[in-house]
Amino acid sequence: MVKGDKSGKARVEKKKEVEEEDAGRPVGAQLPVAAPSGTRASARPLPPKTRAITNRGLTLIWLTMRTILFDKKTILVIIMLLALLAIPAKWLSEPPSDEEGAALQAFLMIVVILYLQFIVLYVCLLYGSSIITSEVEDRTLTYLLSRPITKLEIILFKYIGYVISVFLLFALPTILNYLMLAPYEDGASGLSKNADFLAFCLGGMFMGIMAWGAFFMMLATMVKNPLMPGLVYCLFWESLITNIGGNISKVTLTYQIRTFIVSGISETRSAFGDNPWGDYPSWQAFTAAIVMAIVCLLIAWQVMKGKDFH
Amino acid sequence: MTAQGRPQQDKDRDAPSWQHPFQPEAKAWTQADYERARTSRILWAMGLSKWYGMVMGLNNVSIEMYQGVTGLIGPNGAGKSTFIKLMTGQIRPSKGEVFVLEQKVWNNPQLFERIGYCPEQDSFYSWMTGLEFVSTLLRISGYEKKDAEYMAEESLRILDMGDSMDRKISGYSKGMRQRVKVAQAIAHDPDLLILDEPLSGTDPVGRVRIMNVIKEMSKKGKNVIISSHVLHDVERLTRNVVLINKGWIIAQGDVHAIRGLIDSHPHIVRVKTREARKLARALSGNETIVSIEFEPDGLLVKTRKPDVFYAELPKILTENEIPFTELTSPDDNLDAVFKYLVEGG
Repeated sequence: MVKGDKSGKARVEKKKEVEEEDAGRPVGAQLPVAAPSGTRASARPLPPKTRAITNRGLTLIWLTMRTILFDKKTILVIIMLLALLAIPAKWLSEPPSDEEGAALQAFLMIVVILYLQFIVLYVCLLYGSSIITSEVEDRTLTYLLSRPITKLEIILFKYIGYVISVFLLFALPTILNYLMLAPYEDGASGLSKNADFLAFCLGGMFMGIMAWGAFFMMLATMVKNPLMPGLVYCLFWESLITNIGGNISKVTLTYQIRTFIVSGISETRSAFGDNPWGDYPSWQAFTAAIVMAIVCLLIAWQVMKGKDFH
Repeated sequence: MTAQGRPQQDKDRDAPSWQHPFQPEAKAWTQADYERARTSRILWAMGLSKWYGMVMGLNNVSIEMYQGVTGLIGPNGAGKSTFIKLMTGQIRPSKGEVFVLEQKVWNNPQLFERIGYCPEQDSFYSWMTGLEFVSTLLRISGYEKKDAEYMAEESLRILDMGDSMDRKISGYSKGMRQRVKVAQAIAHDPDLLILDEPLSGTDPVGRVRIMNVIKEMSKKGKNVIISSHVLHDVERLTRNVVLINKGWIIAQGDVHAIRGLIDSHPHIVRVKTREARKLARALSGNETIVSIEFEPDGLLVKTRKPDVFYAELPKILTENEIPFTELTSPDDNLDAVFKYLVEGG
């Protein structure tokens, strides 16, 4: 009884304390502000910051790669690239020239003229402009924007995912072209002997994918329909201006890529015929592409920071 | 309960809130106001507006929301989703500010370590399974793969998705997709859960599960903001509501309190008793009573001052030794309040 009285008294006192505490709060604010976190047994703490950023990055890169590589558009691109392997096959069956290095020149033409100027550019427009807009159109961006991930991280990791995917998409047919044409004159030894051709062509491809992707992504954050201004850029700037010649053509990325490839190969070989595009070192051209990509990414980030995606 | 524009003064604490759509511009906050705001609110907004070109989404909203479950009620197109998008930083305010859990929302992703958000739209990475979807979003939050999978599995089980979590989302029913959306919002055990129409299109099982999740979170001291255009849904979860229409917050607070403000709109109370006549006699002459109707098992009383009536009724019943079995208020539900506030009827 005494015990009961005591506990009863304690309960009354406790109740009084709670009431006094509640009296100081507005109605509806009976609970403390710092809600207990981790109340569910399954809840786990976030890892340290750098680890968390790595986890975010890897996941977002994987998500972007999965989205690009399993896209219906990608299947069409792969079919087209496979079909284009008919060109080196045709060249090998009926070589138009027996001059030394003709096969390598053909490889260079296929990569620079056909791939870079006509296919990579437009594929970059297609994928680069949809890096962010696909998330907006599918309304999945909401899920990303309601996670503890900055807009810069979203842009950067999705961009890296895009670069890896599109580069993989083009690196394989480029290597196949090389494997077909490089041994033409020197047999199997031609593969290692002319590896600089492959390396600089892949490097040029990487440059294009990197800089054009960043540019089209930036465009997509600025305008609602980036395909139209993107096409104008491709046709007018990268195609027309590049081929006009003179100093003005140097401001196009296509010119920088050509310069990188041709100057790069010239730098590794003492004599590589005429060099119509490479009037400055390859590293300068590569730096120009990197600067373009960084500037575009920063602009895209700034635009995204202030933009609604409703 | 809150007033529009600035924090309540102490003397107003127990007063129900009512804000007229055309009330004057909000006053500037003092330092003390800001300090007080940081002590108990889960959300506050000041002069918050959003326009979509010429279309107004939300107009000059100043509001405070406190701990617990808060229902955001309004018809379709009222501005609920706009308000929720603003409070989750999905869109930028055209004017004004919104703070959640003491922090600014816009461009503050860190805040989402403490917030879980279930959007209205039915969008997913539909090539993923339910488990992949939730765990991927947890990984994007920064969790380790193992932890993310464990937490995702657990949250899906809570929502009764244990058997179907390994199936592709594209094959899910609408109700299952709703549950997956809620699962991704609760998986990291947030302090504040913001749900935009989470019960829309749900099957009975899903509805019960989602409601249970909200109730459980509330019991644990977590906070929930839930929007709905179905008043009955929210009424089952909370009495603390915010009514929104055409971009305006038209009222906020307890349904009872809001009802108390509407003096011109009588409040109906049903008293079930065997001694209806005796009770009617005892109530006659009471100034708060508008009318009394006899029913087979009691009385239907209309009062203009429900709070006074509720306070006096037990005394009247005791003094007159009248037994009663049930006291209900048939129109004391959100439907009646909302209809009255929005349509004036």
